[in-house]
Parts: sequence; structure tokens; C-alpha cells
Amino acid sequence: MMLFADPLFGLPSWIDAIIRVLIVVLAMTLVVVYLTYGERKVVARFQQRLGPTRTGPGGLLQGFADALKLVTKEDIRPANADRWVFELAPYATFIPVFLVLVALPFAENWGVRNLALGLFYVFAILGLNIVGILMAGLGSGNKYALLGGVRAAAQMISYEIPLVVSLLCVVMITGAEDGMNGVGTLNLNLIAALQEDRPYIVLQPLAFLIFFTAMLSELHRAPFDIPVAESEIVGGYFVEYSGIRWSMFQLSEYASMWGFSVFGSVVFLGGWAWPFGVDAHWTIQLGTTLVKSLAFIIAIFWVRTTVPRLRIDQLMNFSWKVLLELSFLQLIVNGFILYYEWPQELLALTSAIGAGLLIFLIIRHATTRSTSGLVGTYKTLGTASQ
Amino acid sequence: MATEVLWWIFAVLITGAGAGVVFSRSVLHSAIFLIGTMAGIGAMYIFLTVEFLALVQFLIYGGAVTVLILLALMLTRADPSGRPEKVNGAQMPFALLVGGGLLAALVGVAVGTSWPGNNDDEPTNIDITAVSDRLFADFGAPFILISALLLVALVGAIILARQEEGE
Amino acid sequence: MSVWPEERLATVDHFNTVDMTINVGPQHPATHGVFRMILTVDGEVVVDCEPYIGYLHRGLEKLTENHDYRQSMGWWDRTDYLAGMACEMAYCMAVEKIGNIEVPERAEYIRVMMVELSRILSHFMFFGAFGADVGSFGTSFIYAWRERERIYDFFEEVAGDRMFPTYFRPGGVQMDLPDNYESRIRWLLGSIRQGLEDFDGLLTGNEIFVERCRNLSPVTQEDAINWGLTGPMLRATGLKWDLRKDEPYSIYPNLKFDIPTGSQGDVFDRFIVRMAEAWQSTLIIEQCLDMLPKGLVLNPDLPKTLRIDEGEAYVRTEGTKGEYGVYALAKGGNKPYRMKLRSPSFCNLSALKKMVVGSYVADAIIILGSLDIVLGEVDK
Repeated sequence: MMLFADPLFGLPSWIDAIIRVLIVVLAMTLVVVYLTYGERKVVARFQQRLGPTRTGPGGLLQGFADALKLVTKEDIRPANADRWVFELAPYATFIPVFLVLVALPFAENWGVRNLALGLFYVFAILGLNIVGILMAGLGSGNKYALLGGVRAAAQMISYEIPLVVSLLCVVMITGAEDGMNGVGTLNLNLIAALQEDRPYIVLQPLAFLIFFTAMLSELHRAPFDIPVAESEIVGGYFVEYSGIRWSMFQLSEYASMWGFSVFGSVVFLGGWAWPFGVDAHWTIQLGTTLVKSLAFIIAIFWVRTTVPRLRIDQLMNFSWKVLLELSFLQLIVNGFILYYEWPQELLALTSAIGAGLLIFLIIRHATTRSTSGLVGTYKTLGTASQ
Repeated sequence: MATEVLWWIFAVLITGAGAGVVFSRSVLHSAIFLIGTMAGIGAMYIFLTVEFLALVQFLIYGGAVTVLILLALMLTRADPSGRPEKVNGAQMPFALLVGGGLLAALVGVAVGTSWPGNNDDEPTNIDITAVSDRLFADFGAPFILISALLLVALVGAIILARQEEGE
Repeated sequence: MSVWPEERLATVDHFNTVDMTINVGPQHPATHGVFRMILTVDGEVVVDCEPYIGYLHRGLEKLTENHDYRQSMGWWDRTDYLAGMACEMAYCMAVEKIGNIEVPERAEYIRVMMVELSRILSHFMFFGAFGADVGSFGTSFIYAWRERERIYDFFEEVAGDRMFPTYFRPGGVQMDLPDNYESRIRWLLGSIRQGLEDFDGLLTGNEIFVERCRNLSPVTQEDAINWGLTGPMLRATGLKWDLRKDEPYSIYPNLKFDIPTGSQGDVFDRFIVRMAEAWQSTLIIEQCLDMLPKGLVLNPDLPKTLRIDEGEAYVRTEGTKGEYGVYALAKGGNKPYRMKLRSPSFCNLSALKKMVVGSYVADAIIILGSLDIVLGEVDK
């Protein structure tokens, strides 16, 4: 099932591919520039500030001013850094992120390539991202960077598994759709098209929660920003970078945030297909994708501004002792329901129960504290005794 | 044609990176060359249109195994600056012997086998459903057994490592 | 050498790992100034901690010996620079005690109000910085800043300066409050309470925050006393020790307030005790407003140059971080012979090593934050 249109203007396939890649790269650059601006604005509102206001109307040109500043800064390399490892690390971080954008469907016919294994491709390639981070951590000749690299590697290995399993839950369901003959698909475009009637978040809220959590962890965003913890290891693996190389790290961070958001909105929120259907005009489809990915991104910002950071062992415990079990449980329950062809409402029900369980576990864990009783009561400590 | 040119470029890159793994004087550089080799082999699979295998190669070898190697390097070295380290010279003859033997065996097998497949320059794309049928239906039991074995090995490794700390 | 792993393991007494030293500070985002500590870590666990201080040493005590009693006021503002008025209070009380100087009652009330506002300032700084240490990306900082700015604005109206008002004088305060002080202070109190509620919402109820802080480096009452901890650090262990109650000075005996205490002495208790203290401070200020008498604010009988013949005194007050004690010795003339500061931050900081060894690197930062040190006070 090939949903992608023929090559643009009937050009040869490879020229068409290059043109599409160029468009995506330009779009990505623009998105990243405005994501940095958007983050500063959104976070500023959360923190009772205004954010950038001086560059252009409402600070709209802030991203370009930042970029200009960064490229003109001196590019410093520490004396005891491993030269080639240090200098190549930003590119090794950036290339996988860029490769991921190749497989994402932004609208029915908008994307670089419609890969049959798109979903698998995305998380296989995103896994390579960590290599650049490790190179930066090891090559900088800095202990903070080293600690950041170790933390990033441990965290990435742990959270990759729940992430993949939560995606598999969705892939399983695609097989049960009409016209799929019990065979699921990894094609992202097809997954989006299959959600024409309802997004998979309705059927799999637990998988979505796990995906979102693991995504925050893969992106090194709060509360899982342990590898870049500013108050502990001063920025982690990119502490020694400056100027253009540092901006490469930033670029890949924001680009992967955007990539993940589009990916998540395709898999769980119905991508371009829901709620306007597969026959909607491409502008509407594109707008739908954009709005959904923006919702993801704002949720990430929101979490970032409001929650503190976890400790590394708590992070590991949460992944291995809670998320992994729940994701496997979801997978097995899905398997039973789909194999015996029980109604799909059961999927939604079991998954919602699982999601409730996850939230309950977190809250119970945090509130079982034999406290001094000052919490919530100190205002009416009351007697104000002499 | 274009594929053939790319194939040669990648062949040279992979061989070069492989030589880098052996000859570079820093363990860190070796590990990074290894990543290059693994990724290059993954790209090769794409030329052969076995995309699934290519992605598995990226995920397992490019993403996970080499990360573990780098992690081990980070955890075991006191000096993070990546300066060249002394290679243990006493083991070199054995390494040469093993490496040479393995090379001879592989070349022998590759040359001596009559490979099946079509010769019309159009490799067949293996459908992922065929792979999964093989894996989960035909060889389901061995697959599960191997998974269980790996799990036991994992748990055993954890227990051993914990004992060493005296817990 | 045998090839059997058990025997080989037996010959190696343990698997050798190398500890790594990390330098934290003096320019590190989490050291609250120019404090420096060298952490020796085994993986992520701290096995040793070596603090270095003195980067902000300005010779406060020696400077005081060489200046007129009133000239020195400005130096003492800069010890606990987050709560300058509280330091001025202790200094002035010491000078008044050796010089037998009377303070008008109105001045005492004004002083207590200013000191309690300073306490709130300092505690808000703690909430903000501590939240940033735990990793809430500056949100807590900005939350704290809102209230702090408002209090500082009021200080500016009162004394003409924000951080270092130099408002107190031996024998009273420099000048009376501005005309609209009552409405200003009542509005401030409402704002402060709103700020505390906001912090409750942002931090106290947050699962991750609780998870990070609870049962972290619990200190027993016995240890706390042995290590010389004072202030909120001591009260977090459950001991009701507050100099405002136990050795009442100024007008504190006339005021009604509680001494909030924790139970386990862990980091969370230290945080919540400070929250409760800030709330109690608002109650104290309210009472002062209600009871504020009319009259002079500065003792009119004082000469232009303050000369004290003989006198020796140790005055201790409940500073924002603990027992803020000033020892003063006069041997005639317009300068003190000796002035010694017992700074709570310094004494609390000396227990740092005992608290952080064995914890994670990330926790070491939090524990340091929970001590609520001010380097101006540590280094004097």
C-alpha cells in the first residue's frame, strides 16, 4: 500500500529525494529557531516573566540573533581533549536526528520517504544519537562531561526498552484493523491513516503514558535531565563546547524534540488523519500534524518548568521496576484480547486501568511519608502558644 | 550503477574503519571506529534491500553494543582525557593467530559456498512478515528458549556482580 | 595462575576501581556563592568531601576594630547579605549592651518587624535556590524573586537601600517608617502568604520533590547538638530551640508565635520548617503592626561620637540561619577592642562532610543547599 505521491514534477527519484530532504532541512532549521524562541516565551510565561521582547516585534527574531551570536563566538577546544572525537561529536549527535526526519509523514503525501519499516527505523536510528553524546563525554577531557556521558548512556539503555514496547503495543493493534488481515504494520503513514476514526491514545492510554515518559528521558528533558543537570554537573556532556559546536548540540536537541513530537503524534494522536479524515486537504493535514506536535512540545515545556529532577538511581528504579513491567503487561493483555478477538473497548478499558495504576503507584509512593505533620498544617499551627 | 559505486565507497570505508579498530592506539578511538564499521555494515544491508536486518544492525550493534563498550570504557578508566594507552604486547601473537585463523576460516567459507539466490542484479526484498513467521511460528520454541537462557544469564550476572560488592 | 574463575577471584582481594575527584566550585551553579568543595566519588557515590572556604573573606572583625561604632554598621550588613537587618540587629544589641544604651520602644517594634521581614527574605531565597538545586529549572527562583523584590522595594522606601540598608543604629533606628507603612506592610504580608502558597503548590506537593528530599541525610537530635547545628537545621530534628523564645530579647516576649519543628531532621524537614517559620514571621509582623506604640525611634541622649569606656558582652540572636552571636569587648575610645562573630552558616557548614559522605553526587548538592549557607557569613 503506497500512499506517497509520485515524484515531484516527474523528476528522477533521486533528485526528488534531494529536493524533499532540502525542504525538510529548511523546515527543521526554521522550526528549531522558533522552538528556542517558543521555549523561552512559554517558559517565561510559566515563570511570570515576559521572555525575549527586544529583537523584532515581540522578540520574534530572537532565534536568529542567538544563531548569529553563536556562530561568531570563538570555538574553543580544551588542551587535553581528544581532538577528533571532540570535534566530530556534535555531528555524530546531529546526523541521526536528521535521518529520523526522513521517515516522518507530515501529511498524507508530505514526507521524504514512506518507509515500510518507518516506526522501527525511527527508534533504531534515534538510538545512534547516544554515540555522539558519549563521544562528547569521553572526548572532552572533563569530568563533568564524563559523568554526563555515563549518565546519558545508562539512562538511554534503560528507557529504550519501555519506549519500544509501548510502540509495539500500538503496532499490535494495527493488525486488528479492517483490511489488515491480522498483520500489523510498521509504516508510519499507514499507522496514521488507520487512526482516521479514533487516535490510538484512546485505546492505549497506558502505552501513551509510557511513551511520553520514555520520550522525555530520551530527550534528556526534565524531570529526566540528569545527564545535563545544570545544578550538579554544569551541563554534562557539552560543558566544554562553545560557539558553533555547542549550537550543533542545541540544534540536534530541539530537532529531536520536534521529531519525537511528530512521531508521537503520528503513532498515538492520529497524525494527519484524525479528526479530519484521510481525504482532507493537505493544508489541513499539515496543520493537524503541526498542532499536535506543538501540543507535545508545549507539554514538554510545561513539565520542564514545573517538576524537579530525579536522581539517577530513582530514574533507574522507575524504568526497570515500574515502566518495564507495565509495558510488558500491556503487551501481554493486548495479545490476549487481539488473539481471541475480544471487543476493542476492552483494550481501552484495560489500558486505562493500567494508566490509573501507574499514576496511583507514583502518588502512593510519594505520599507514604511519616512526616512531621507540618505539611499543609503549618498555617494553622494555630495555638501560637507563648 | 549508482548502487555499485556506493557499494565500493562503503566497502572502502568499512575496511578502513576495521583497520582503525585494530591499529588505533587509543581504546576510545578503537571503539568509535567499531561503531563506524557496524554502521557501515548496516548501510550495506540496505544496498542488499534487507532493510529489516539493516535496522536491527543499527539498533543492536550501532546503538546498544557499542554504547555498552563505551560505557565500560568510561567506568574503567581513571583518566578521561582519551590519551593513547599502552597496548598489551604480550598477547599480540595470540591475537594475530586467532585473527588470522578466523579470517582464513571466513574466506574459506565464503569462497567455498555456492550461494543461492538470483543473479539478475535485482535482490529480492524480504518481507518483514516472512521474517516474523519464521521467527515466531517456525522457530518459536527455540526463540523462547534462547530468550529464557539470556534472561537467566542476565540475572546470574547481576547476582555475581552484587556478591562482589558484598551484598 | 589457575584458569578457574573461583580461584582467580580468590587471589584478587577485590575488584579495583579508581575513585574520581570532582571539583565543585568556587564557580559552580549550585554552591550559592564562592564555596568550593572537592568531592571524591566512586561512580556516583560520594566517598569523601573536602570543603574549602575563604574566597569571600573581607576581614570583618578586624575592620570593625578599626572603625567607629557607627561606621561599622555597613560591614555587618554584608555578613548575612540575604538578611542584612537581622545582622544589624545583633550588632546594635551588642553595642547597646556594652554601652548601656536605651532603645525606645517604638524602635524595638520597628526592628523586630524589619528582622522578621529579613527572615522571610532569607527563607524565600532558600526556597528559590533549593528548588533550583533540586532541578526545577529556575521556576522556584522566579517565584521567590517576586516576593523578595516587593520586600526589597519596601526596604528601599524605609531606609533608602535594598540589600544593605544600614537602617539600625545603636540606640534605635535611623528614621521613622514612611507614612503609608501600615497599608504597605499589610499588602506585603498578603503577597508573602500567597507566595508561600505558591511554593506549596510548586514544591511541597510535588512527588519528585518529596521523593528526592525525604529521608535524605537524616540528622538525629544528639548529632545536631554535638555538631553545633542551630536554627532551622536544629529545629528540623525536632528540638524546640529558638532564641526568640528560650532567651527572649527585644520585644519578643510580648509576641505570640509558634516554633515549628520537624521530626526526622532530613532535608524535607529542613525545607518545611523554613516554610512554617516564614509563615510565623508574617504573624509576628502583624502583631507588631497592631501593637506599634508612638514615640521616638532613636535615643536622643546619645553623643555625636559614641564612646564606650569598658564593657564586655556576648549577644546572641536568632538569625535567619541559626544562632547569630556577637561578642563585643570595649576598652575605651570610639572603637571596640574586639568584635567576634559566631556565624550560624559557618557552624552549620562544618557538618557538611558528615552529611554528604555516602550519598549520591546529586544529593550532595541538595544537602549543601539545605544547609542554606551564605558565604558572606561563612567567610566573614
